[in-house]
Amino acid sequence: MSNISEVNAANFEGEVLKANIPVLVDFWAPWCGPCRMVAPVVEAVAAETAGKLKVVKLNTDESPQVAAQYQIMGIPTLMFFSAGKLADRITGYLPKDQLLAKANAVIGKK
Amino acid sequence: MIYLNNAATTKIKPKEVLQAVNGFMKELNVSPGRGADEESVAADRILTEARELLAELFNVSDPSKIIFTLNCSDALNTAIKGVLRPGDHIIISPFEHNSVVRPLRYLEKLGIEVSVAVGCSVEGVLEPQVVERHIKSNTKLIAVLHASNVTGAVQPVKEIGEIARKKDLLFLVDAAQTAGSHEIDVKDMNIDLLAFAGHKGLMGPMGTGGIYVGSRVQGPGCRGIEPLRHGGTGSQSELEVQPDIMPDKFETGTPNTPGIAGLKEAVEFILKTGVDKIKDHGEKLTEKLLKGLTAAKNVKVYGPGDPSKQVPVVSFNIEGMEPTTVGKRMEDEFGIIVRTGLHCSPLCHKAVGTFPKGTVRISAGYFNTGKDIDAAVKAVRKIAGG
Repeated sequence: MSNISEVNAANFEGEVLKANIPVLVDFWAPWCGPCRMVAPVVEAVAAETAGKLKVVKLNTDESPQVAAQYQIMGIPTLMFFSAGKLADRITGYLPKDQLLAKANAVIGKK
Repeated sequence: MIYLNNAATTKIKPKEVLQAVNGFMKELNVSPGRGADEESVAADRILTEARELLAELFNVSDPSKIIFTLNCSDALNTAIKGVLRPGDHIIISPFEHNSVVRPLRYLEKLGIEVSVAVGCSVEGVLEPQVVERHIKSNTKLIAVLHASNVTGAVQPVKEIGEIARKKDLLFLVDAAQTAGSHEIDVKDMNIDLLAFAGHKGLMGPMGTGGIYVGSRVQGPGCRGIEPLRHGGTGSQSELEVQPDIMPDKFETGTPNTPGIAGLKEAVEFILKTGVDKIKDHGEKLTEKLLKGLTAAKNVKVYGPGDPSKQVPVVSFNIEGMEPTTVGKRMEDEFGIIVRTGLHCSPLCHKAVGTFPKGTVRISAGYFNTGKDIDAAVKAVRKIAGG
């Protein structure tokens, strides 16, 4: 089971935009097959970047307002935020080394 | 040369289509319904018979509800601009073609509200519950393509049609990629407006297309649909206003009768061959293509990856290569014609994660063979280095 915490429309600002370290948000939904494929990749990256990157999930079915605000057409979409600003965005599956490289780039810039 | 760009237009047509176009221009070539002479009546009969055949293909009871348009984009414009009024809300899938997206971006400036059903899977299949979630009190129309011209994914139109009917909304389906190759039943699928291209899966000439306008859209007591164009119809000439009868209300000006003569033969060919048989052939080619491409090194295939869930349209990319380079090499080195880029569907590429570069798209038609697919797979493997 995933130990990555969920955020929603109500706490998105506090948990993501106002976080004091960069944040990776995994936009997903329970019925989405490719989301299940990318979940372990996100978890692995979370484990390797602990303390430097905050990793959270957002269920687009439960928080459609946020999905609409960020124009999340397809899921999974992974978005990096740094100091409240969108730093990078990936739609679809990508292997762990590639996601880790992107994570490190965002962490390094901070 | 191997032509694998059938999602744009089917290059090879049944020979009867060519004969009909040529035959009309050689032997008849008069304006339908613009004269009471025998030839004008005969030309008009071609339109009527084409309507009847299309009605049979889509399970439409009244052929006069089939309207001929310039192409599928024109049909979609007819539906969208005819139905929506300022203050109305429309929901579309994130996989729509620019022929839906562009009219809507224009209408937004006139006060029409547009929602894209965000939060769909990158595999390219619309989740009906996601559409339902976007319904609001001013929602009038749901517009969905039957199959994507990028991923090939067939959408659950029947389920979405049920939602539209349950919520008393109008339902528009863009069948550009499925008409002629997949079963379409407007009654069973609760479709109120069905737009189709004549020159793709229907295998007719370019410059043909149409739209079915169901009774929930027109007639007394209904929401109403206004025509896109006004002018001569060859009927009720005493009126200075557009006639309210179908299909004349929407068919202004002299139609593309040679084209429709060809389309009539094409639909007859499809009915004679059987949509099931055409679909089955497409599935076999798709299976071969998917198997070959997914096994290739450095190749990423988009979409459902399942021949039973898509039309014979497969998008892919080779790692580290621009789609346009791949397409050019397929043509120059192997004589294979495919399409590269965004395929007029930037929104869909955003949903799939392939914006802004796009993909290489291989799309097969009824006259393609397994050998064509083998050659395409071989070419991709060579270019991809595996």
